[in-house]
Amino acid sequence: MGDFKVAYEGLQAEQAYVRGTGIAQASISKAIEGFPADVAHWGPWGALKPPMVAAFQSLDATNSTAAPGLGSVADLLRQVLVAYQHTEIANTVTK
Amino acid sequence: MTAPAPLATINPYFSNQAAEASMLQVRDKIQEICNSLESMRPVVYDTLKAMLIASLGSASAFVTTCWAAYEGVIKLAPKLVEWWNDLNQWVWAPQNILDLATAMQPAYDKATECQQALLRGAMPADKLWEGAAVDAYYAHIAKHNAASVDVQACIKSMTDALRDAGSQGVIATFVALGALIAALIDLIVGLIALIPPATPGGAAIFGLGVVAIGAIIAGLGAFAQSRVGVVTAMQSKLDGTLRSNNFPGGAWPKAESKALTTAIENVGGWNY
Repeated sequence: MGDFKVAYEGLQAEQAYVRGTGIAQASISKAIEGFPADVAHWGPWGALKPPMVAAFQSLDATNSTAAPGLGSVADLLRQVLVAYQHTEIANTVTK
Repeated sequence: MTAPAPLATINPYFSNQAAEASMLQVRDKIQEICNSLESMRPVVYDTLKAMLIASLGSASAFVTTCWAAYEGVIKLAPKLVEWWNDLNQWVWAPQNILDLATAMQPAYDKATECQQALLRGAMPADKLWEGAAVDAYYAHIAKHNAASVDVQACIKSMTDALRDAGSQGVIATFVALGALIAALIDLIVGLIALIPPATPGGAAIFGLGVVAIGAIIAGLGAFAQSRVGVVTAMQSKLDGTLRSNNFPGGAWPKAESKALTTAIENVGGWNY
């Protein structure tokens, strides 16, 4: 029971940690959203804007998927936790 | 061990907000030049008229030339104010780009924090879970860490490109502003010389000053264009990184439920 409790709590902590890290990673995209657009008047520097905007959009498109990406790991850990619980219940019943 | 906190929205600080007043002062000076041209008009006209009378009509061609030159300058003058207003709109763009690079620092710091948070030794289960299953699990987490490393590198290259384009742009703008001030001095010299009989010479100096301002702005445009390659190269490299194997389908890796369940089943001998 002791080993189970330690592993269970470890996985529980891991699940929350991984999900939180995914949210933090994805928050970078939101934090810098629209950055190049914040430069209101480009004048001759306007030629720099399209590649800058494209770079920010590209980063946003990929990095914003960090939350569901790491969230999927957390979901999987939850499945493992359920499996642990089932195993522990089965073992207890057998004993 | 707690997960990194989400990053709050960053509101960049644009330093031009404090410096715009000086540009407006120059704009006001240009407006004063234009006003002076208008107020000088009767003086120039009276002087030319007096010259025509004194010459008994023989200076007619010269007087006509002076008058045409002066009228030409008058027509150019409002354009100067218009140009300066345009200039005031975009002259801060390189500084703004540089300010964006500074504002990117917390994003880079957060990316670094997240990357370090996805190292096995920093994660909670490493201390509490043992065996082949946890090794399989952390082998999977390594993919997420690799993605995080790539994002961190992308933010770094974006920041570097912004800083590079911004700082070079600021230097070019300062050089251009120095030349613009010199051109404005030409305008003032031309203004003084517009009083007859030196009107054609003064108009020429004034015209040269105006041409110089146009050329300086065009030069800045060409310089900005030359920086495009650096930013485009950064964007292309970033696109390549974000489409690498670390990002299947251009997205953050996702855990395959079946694969990990199977791995755990294999290790634990479970079957559901």
